[in-house]
Amino acid sequence: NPHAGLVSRLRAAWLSGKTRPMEYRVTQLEALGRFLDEKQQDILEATTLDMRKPSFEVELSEISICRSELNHTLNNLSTWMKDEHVEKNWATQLDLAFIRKDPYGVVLIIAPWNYPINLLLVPLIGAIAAGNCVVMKPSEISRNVERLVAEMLPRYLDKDCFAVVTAGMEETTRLLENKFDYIFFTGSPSVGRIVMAAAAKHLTPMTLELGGKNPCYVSDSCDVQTVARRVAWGRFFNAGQTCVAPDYVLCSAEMQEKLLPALRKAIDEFYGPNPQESPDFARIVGDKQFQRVQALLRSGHAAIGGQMDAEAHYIAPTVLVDVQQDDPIMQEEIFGPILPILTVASMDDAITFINARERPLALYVFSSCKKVVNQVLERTSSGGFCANDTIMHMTLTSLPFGGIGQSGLGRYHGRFSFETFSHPRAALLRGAGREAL
Amino acid sequence: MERMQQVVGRARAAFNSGRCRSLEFRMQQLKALERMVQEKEKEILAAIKADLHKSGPNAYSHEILGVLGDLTLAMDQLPSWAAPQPVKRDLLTMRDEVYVCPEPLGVVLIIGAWNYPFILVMQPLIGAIAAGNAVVVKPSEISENTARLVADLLPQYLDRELYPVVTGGVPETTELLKQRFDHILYTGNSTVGKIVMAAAAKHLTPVTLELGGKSPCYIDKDCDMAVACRRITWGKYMNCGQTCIAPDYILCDPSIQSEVVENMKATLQEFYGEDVKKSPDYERIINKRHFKRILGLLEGQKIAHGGEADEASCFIAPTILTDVSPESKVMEEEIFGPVLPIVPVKSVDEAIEFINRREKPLALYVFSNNKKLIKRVISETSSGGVTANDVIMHFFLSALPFGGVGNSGMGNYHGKHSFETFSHRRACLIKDLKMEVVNKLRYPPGSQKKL
Repeated sequence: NPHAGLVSRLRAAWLSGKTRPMEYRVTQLEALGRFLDEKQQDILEATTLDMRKPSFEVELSEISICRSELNHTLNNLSTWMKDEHVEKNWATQLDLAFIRKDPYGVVLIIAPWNYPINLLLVPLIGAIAAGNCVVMKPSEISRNVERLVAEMLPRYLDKDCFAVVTAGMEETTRLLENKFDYIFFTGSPSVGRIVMAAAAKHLTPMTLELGGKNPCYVSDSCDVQTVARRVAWGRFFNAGQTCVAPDYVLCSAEMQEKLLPALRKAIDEFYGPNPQESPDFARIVGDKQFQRVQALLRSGHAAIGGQMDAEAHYIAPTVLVDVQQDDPIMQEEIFGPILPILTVASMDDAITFINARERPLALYVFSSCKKVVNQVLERTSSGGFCANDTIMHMTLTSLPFGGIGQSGLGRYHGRFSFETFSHPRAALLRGAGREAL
Repeated sequence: MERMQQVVGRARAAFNSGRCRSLEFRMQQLKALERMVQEKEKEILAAIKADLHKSGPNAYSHEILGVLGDLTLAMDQLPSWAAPQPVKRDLLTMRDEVYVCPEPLGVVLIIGAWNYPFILVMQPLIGAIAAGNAVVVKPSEISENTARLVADLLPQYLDRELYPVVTGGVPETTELLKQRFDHILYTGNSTVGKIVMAAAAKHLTPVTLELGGKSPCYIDKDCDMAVACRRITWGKYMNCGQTCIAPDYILCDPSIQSEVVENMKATLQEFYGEDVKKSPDYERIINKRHFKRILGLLEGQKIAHGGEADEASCFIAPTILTDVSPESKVMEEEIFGPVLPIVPVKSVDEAIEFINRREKPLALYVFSNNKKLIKRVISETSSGGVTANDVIMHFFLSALPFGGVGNSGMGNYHGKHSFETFSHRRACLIKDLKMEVVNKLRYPPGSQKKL
């Protein structure tokens, strides 16, 4: 067990009680803030090297989000840490009854490669805020960010209580053999199953942020150009490698006819006539992922885009039509800059289509008709739901972010991160009187 | 065993029909459940008596009262629990509707335990129904009379397809666990808890595991000894010690050990009379296997009180052991019986260290007049829940979440927490297609100006 020493070192630090006082947690969080400020340039460089992430995107989706979560946490930590007093019944009127937020102990955070800073730091903020010690496992696929995090974070955070482990698939499996008090995993459902099976051996509670195919239903009554922009933005951001990206569109044949030119216009507005030359369009992260996404292009035919450059890991923003339910592209989460459009005869058919499949992490509806929005909302199930836009529901710190079914279990962001990494301990403090009761 | 597949399949089809979503439907089912408990009270008490030799009044206060309370609370609060909750908006979403919408998970599985066989299926069931789910109920086969009764009664009062009862032992449960559920709530021991979680992992099913452990009870020298010992006696020997949150063992200074014993003996006399065996208020061990297991724990121990046993009736007298060594067998596993070891410790520091060296317990108890000491014990230890200057009682306040941590479990329920356990809280952002100009800030091409 190569990591046993590290885990027991952190556990000893945990037992010392060091991470519990609010002052300590604030100091560590502020240090994380300094990391974001001082290493901003390094983050931009590393993400560029890993997947040619546009600086513009990195600012929005990696740095700003972390800063906003950090500020929100620092501003609210003392409130969140307070004992939550509860309503008492007749027998306990004179007692103190409250819920104490206890840290779990030594927690493990496993982060993915697509938003390697955001998806490591936002859970980390919650774990530190809740008073835990943390082992972090950044993704080995985003190699440059992995190196940055492994080298730099220990210079900002208390080495006794926070450690970064670099590991590939096999070593991560060994890491999971250790007992942790909480595991936070972001990644694919198939690896999620492996993580949960490992957690079961130690009865470790977890949050799994997984994925799936996020449907996007576009009704006939809507402002097509606005819809096209919002859908294109959500789909092609980070070259489609986003867990909450709209994965496929469902609409009527008439709407498809209107949508195609509108999408073409939006893509042109965003990335210019040759997106490969745009500084604002990312690349597929690696060879293996490129091969996988490339193969999906063989479904239907490309009404927009379809160009590739294997050496550069470039796939153009692509829209596919004439896609069938059984095509390869409809069998797995795309996680690439390809948007298939499938036509349906009606909203009811769209809902039936959606409900025949695994529950997604996000579900999108575009319609200027309230009734349509409500119908889809009421008759489907998903982690989160957004009407008339994409992605935005996950940028609010007041909304819980998480999946359901195959798209995940548990939730976080804002206060929910703090609660995820806390054990809600029931406490009843009684006096010696009223023995007659 | 196709039967399991069929039962779960039928429940899923029934759930998909949408009929359990309306609040009216859920209320109707909860009301029916309430009628069941009221109309069949006699039968329920008789089944519990047959399983655990429990008196009517005890069974009523342990199992029925709590269920009726939860039903009343759920029916009263359901509209508020199920309502969408608006949340704080930011600058970009000021004009939008932003809220969290509680939704049912789908088909959930509740696996009950034998020690409080009625309430441990009913309380989760109430929450699961209130949250709009279909529920497969699997009562423990070890408390066979209550299991049989639940299997008979539920279909008489509730929708048969949505809330089926499955009976059987290990093979049936194993087959059941192969099916896909949207949540599993299991009450029992850690060993089986791991098996349940491993089975759930195959389907990525979230779980609530209500397990157990050794719940420590620290008695400070500065406390009202008579009151403390009476309360501890009550909590320890109720249900013949077969309570997941019973004080498992006592930690106290050696100088007060005999005072503790004397006080407890006096209370035992008060509760059960001269001849405990004849008291209608004293239960029995559930079966011979547990009877033998518990008796085995007495080997080599100093018995300060009790120790009598009768295999034929699975009777073990309320027993107190003194000067118990931390390495002895009785300090290894959860006792789950009427045996109370006292382990001497010289200080509260030693007590805290002792507790922290072991698995996190489901409950933790501390008796003291010193508020600072109590706060310290709570802050420096970890447990599912805590009651100070009493035992068990945090279980009865439904506003408090009931659950374990570490080896004693994960997740929680009771009252509103049951509803939340069995719900998915879906984040919803409802925008319109106007104000597109605001979005221009986030669209490429990027520029310093935009940032």
